[in-house]
Amino acid sequence: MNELGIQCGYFDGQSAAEQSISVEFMMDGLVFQVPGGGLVSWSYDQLRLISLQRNNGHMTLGWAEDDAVRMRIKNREAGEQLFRLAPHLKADRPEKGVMKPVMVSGAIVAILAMIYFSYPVFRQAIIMSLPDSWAQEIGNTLAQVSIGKAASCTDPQGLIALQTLTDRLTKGVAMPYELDIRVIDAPIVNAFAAPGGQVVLFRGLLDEAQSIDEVAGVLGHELGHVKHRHPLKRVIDIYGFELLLTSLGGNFGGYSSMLLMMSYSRDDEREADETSLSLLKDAHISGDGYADFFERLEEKQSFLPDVMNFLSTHPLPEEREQTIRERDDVGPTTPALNKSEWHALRNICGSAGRKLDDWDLQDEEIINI
Amino acid sequence: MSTVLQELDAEQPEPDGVTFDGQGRELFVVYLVNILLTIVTFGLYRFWGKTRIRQYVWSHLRYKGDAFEYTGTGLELFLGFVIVFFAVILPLIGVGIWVQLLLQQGDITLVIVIGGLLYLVFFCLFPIAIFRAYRYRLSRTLWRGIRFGLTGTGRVYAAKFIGYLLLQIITLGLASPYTTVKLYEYLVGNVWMGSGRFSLDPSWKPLMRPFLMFWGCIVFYFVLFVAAQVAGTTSINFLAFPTMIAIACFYFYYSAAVYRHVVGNIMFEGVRFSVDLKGRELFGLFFVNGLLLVFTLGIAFPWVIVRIMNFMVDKLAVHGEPDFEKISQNTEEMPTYGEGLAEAFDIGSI
Repeated sequence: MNELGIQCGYFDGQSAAEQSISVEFMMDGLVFQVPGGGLVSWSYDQLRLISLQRNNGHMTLGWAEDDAVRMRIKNREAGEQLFRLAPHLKADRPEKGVMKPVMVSGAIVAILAMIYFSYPVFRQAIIMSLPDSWAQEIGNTLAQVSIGKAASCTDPQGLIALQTLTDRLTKGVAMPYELDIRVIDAPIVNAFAAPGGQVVLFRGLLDEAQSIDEVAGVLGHELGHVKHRHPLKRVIDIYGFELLLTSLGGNFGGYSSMLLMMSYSRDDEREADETSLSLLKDAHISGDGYADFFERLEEKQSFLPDVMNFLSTHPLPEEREQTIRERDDVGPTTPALNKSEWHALRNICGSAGRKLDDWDLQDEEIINI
Repeated sequence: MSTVLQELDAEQPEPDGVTFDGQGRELFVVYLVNILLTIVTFGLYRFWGKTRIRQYVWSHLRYKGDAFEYTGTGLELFLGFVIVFFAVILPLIGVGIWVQLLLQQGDITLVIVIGGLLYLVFFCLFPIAIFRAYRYRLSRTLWRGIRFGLTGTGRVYAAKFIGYLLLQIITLGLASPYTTVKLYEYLVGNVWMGSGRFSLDPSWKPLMRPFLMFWGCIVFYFVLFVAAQVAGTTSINFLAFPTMIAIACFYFYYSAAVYRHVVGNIMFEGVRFSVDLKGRELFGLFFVNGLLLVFTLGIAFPWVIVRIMNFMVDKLAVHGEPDFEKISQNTEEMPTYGEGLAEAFDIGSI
């Protein structure tokens, strides 16, 4: 039968020398005499195409039974015949088979969409199973890092006013944690809630506020974060989700996780705004002050393009202002604190009516409330 | 039917030497699929994508008509990265957070000490990452079923790397030809194809002249402008641009000399190699590749790879032929996982 076969090269996997063999193309496989050995058959489904030479159609084949042996077919027609007998070899190249990856991509997108929508449910379950003391501990650390060396304001009259405002807002509302609300002596127009019931207002916010109702709106917003345990959600997002995606997915993973987190974060901000409005409403405080606050914020941040909405942890101020203006107030409202209380609160850090040099000073700063 | 085919046997002789017959168009298909899958997997697919690119490039690179083969898998690269992530990256992130907290507490001395140590660790890991990436790639490279390999250790390579760097600093860069060749000597001298070993003759003196021209330009630049600064004159500023152009020219001139010299001194089982490469050709390759990538926002990446491969194959000549009978299979142990450390440092895009 050797006379009928096709001359091919054979590499036994033991040495780099080429040996000559005569291969016969049978119905179920390639049959040839191994140099210095017996007759073997490489069945077609055990073949692997390792290389196909463009200019002359020569090909290198591997065999599933032995990782190191190779056969070289040095004849275009023989190669074409092999493709007919073993069609799967045609797709055995990295540049072939585009449809499969496209379908796989579709499936992955579907799975990811499911993860995106079901992740908040899992996160909620984690939050519910964590002890409150744990959240408070994290909150203390995080708040300390954000505050740095700045001092808490302790004017007794101011503290009483702050407590009065808090009590009015939270009357009859169940909070998951004990509240710990502080004013920090720093000229920053901002406020934040940390995991575990800590709310921090910066003195700059009180200095800049044009009415007590503005402060009430912002405080209500932060209380909304506390009520829905948003800060703890963020911590879980960052350490559970973002760290994983960033590390495994490289730069691309980092960017995409950032976009995802921002989307979740914007949802939280909207929820906190809603809660603030309902707290204000139940306390018979007008929401106009809170809306005024965003109107001024809008002007200050007009340097930001609208596309920022997708690249920000917070919704755009104009969107938030509009939502607040569209609320329906029920019944008569009174200012959140009376004049003397508001005066005391503004002086909680000791120095009356200190103005910021200029709120425009912080033009480049994005205020995250 | 076999009788007809028999007559067609051995119609075209195999090309001698090293050839490459990959096409940018085909590689682009591989690349496009990679991008798509990388996007939908948030970057996780990149390990498998890299593997497919390598499979394509390796399988179109031939010596004596026989293609090279890349046998690595995406899973190996992925696991290699996962291991490094937990063993190296995560602890380093932990230390980083600790330093942040110390900074909050205002303990500056401790921050400087730990921060310094952190950089030192990174610095030592870098050459180890390079060495291990080479080892992985070579161990996954086959020719005629015979496996390549890299012996030696990443630790020794890193020690040499850092030692030679210190030597360069001490000699104001003048030791560069010596250290470059010595570092290559360790790397090349540990490369195997099956039972055959590569070696590099560590002569470095012929590189001194081209290096001094490059070095002289830089020194000239510094002397000129330090002098101008001291004298407070701006009258020689017009010389700055021409000097920088000269530095760039001599850089490529020297780089080409290094390639010619190093490749020309590699030996393998009686075989010698040479690259016929000029500095301006090297510049042309990098310049055009750079333009291609910039103006296509990276889409031309497959063509850039093909250009580099064609360039290398075009310049490289193999003199003589080893006794293939004597080259037997590589029996060295293979690394199990791949390139995690190099991945962490983002070394090498393919």
